[in-house]
Amino acid sequence: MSDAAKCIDTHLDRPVLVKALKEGTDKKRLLDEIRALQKIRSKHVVQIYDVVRDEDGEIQGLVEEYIEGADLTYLNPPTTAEDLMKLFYPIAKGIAEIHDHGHIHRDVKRQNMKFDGEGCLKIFDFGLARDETADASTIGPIGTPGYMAPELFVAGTNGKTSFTTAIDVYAFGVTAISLARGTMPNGLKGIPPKLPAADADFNGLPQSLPPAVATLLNQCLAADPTARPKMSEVAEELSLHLLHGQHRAFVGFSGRLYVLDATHPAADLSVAGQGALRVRYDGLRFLLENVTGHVALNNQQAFNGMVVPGSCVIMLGLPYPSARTAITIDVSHPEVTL
Amino acid sequence: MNGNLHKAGDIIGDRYLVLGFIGQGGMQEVYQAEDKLLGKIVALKAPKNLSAQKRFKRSAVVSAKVNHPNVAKTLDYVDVDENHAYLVEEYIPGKDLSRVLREDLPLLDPQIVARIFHHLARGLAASHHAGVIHRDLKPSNVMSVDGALVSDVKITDFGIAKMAEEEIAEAAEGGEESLTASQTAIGALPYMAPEIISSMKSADKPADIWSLGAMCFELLTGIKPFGAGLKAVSAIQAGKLPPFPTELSKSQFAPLAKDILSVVQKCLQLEQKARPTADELVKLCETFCYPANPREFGVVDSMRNAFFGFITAAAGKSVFFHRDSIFGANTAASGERVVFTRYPGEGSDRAFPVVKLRK
Ligand SMILES: Nc1ncnc2c1ncn2[C@@H]1O[C@H](COP(=O)(O)OP(=O)(O)OP(=O)(O)O)[C@@H](O)[C@H]1O
Ligand SMILES: [Mg+2]
Repeated sequence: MSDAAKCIDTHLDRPVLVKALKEGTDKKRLLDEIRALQKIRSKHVVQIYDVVRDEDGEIQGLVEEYIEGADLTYLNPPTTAEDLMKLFYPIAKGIAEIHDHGHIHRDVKRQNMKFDGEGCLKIFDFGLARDETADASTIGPIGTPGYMAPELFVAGTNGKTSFTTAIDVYAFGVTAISLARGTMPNGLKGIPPKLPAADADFNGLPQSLPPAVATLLNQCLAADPTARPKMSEVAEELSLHLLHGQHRAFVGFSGRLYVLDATHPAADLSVAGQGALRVRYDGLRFLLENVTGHVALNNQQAFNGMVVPGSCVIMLGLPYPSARTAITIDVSHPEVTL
Repeated sequence: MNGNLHKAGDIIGDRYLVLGFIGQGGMQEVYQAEDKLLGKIVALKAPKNLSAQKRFKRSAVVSAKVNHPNVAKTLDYVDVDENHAYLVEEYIPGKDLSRVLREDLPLLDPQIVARIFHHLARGLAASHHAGVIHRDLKPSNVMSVDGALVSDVKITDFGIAKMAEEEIAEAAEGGEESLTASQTAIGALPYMAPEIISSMKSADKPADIWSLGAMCFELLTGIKPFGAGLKAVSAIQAGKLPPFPTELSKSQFAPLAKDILSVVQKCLQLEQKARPTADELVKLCETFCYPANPREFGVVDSMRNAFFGFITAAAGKSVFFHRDSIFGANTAASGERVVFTRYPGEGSDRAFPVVKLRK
């Protein structure tokens, strides 16, 4: 528990959170670190407004944006795969944006996130700089038991642990499985945890996540940090599945526009003497099938099972001077704004 | 251009170092400043006249209640002395949408307008949830991150409108002379809901919905739906939209343009109750299908033949485009500057859509 109190900013007449620094905080490096955090452009990161100093000008605390409501520790687990992915997505996205800016959060856990009044997930409590000379305990692993990746328990030759963004990915995995089950799996509570833990498996959840999603989430809990996916990959896979059945492709062919979507999932396109193919929507992607003749997609030989990228031109027929026909395909979908 | 109140190097409230003047409207001067404490760039807004200061404080309090990614964040309020007060706001790198329209893009493609519409509706919904009415939604009060690339949009000046209200009310009641004398009123008029023209005091949430609809019509067509100047008054009161420009019926763009227009029409209902609420508007916008991929600037190399050509950008491979992907035109000349989204391709990447910048 950190010491924090809801206060009113009397200038702007709005609530703020005034938080005392945690014990062992390296005050000399604190401001530099807070300044570096300001560069993160993410709607999921809580805003720091000001610092509180004592009479000697020494920083004692931080003034932050106040987020109403409870953190995610005791959130009731969502009952459907869709709602579960809607919960995971903004967490993954927020952490990915933190990583994009070269930061490691270092204390990702259910207690450090909340949904604000507009339903926007906010992540707070970065594991800020610690004074490494203060006492031996701070040289050891930092973080919260259960959320700490196994590599954090391995000291290097200098007695300190080294880590990468993969510790946040691991902590995300623990956060996600705990949110899905409502409690943290016992198998993850060991110090260090024994992996893989039988009760921390995204494949066996009652919400029945799509297998591709469950597999990727299980990789977040890999013992080997290099085997864990990037946080941005996880966010992307989740957003793809959140849009299941909602994609649309506009196909421009000989001056006409055809729309493919969940209700009209396939179109056969052909020009005699040039080539033919079928474009089919599988709920997640648009794929090419029945490719015959000379068919190139964005200048690449087309094949059965080829995935249509966001936007492309398909050419039927041999290159100039033969007759060719261009087909444009533009894929779009509602924007995931979670 | 310089501000009247400050010059680069001034320090405000022991914390904010003025870096330069950004611009001004009828009510305030806006400066770029560095927050020396947190080491980040902020926008500093100062009221132009002292009589406005008390209302300025109220406006700061109002805008601070809204917290949403599509609303410029209020960070601080500095009361230096009784003659100097400042609102400190998140600095948004880019341009406001009225500058984008004026300097870069005469009109925007449906893909980006759909995204702008959706995001502004969300920002507006957050403000309406907080009980805050904007009252002065117009392109100059929407900041576009990265200007013509429109990476993000954020509504600003929530509070300031309440101040402008009195000036506009006076102008609207005083007829042609005072209306044209007030820059603020002239800027706001094309987006003003009919009930506001009748009585400024009746500004309520549906008025914001109207303004957003009027604004998105302009973004999509390049045309102010009810014209500008005093003529707009009778056109607004009649509530009749001009015909839809034909270049928007180009097949690749038509379906989305149609979707947007139908939502715009719902916003521009004379009857306040007939307009969607902000929450309903968000639901309508959520159905828009558009690519949200980042855009970049480029220059057209050449059209290889009547059907396709290539674009060169600052970085990355050359980019192939088909003429059907050009917004509002059927061809592009070499040397023309464009904004586009890149998709990976073999040899060259592929662009969609391709939107021409002003010459
Ligand atoms: N948060 C911000 N970050 C960066 N630039 C900003 C910010 N807010 C406003 N600006 C810029 O400051 C300039 C002046 O803004 P201001 O609101 O005073 O004028 P306006 O909206 O054009 O006029 P009016 O008084 O008619 O509303 C605008 O060009 C705008 O682009
Ligand atoms: Mg403004």
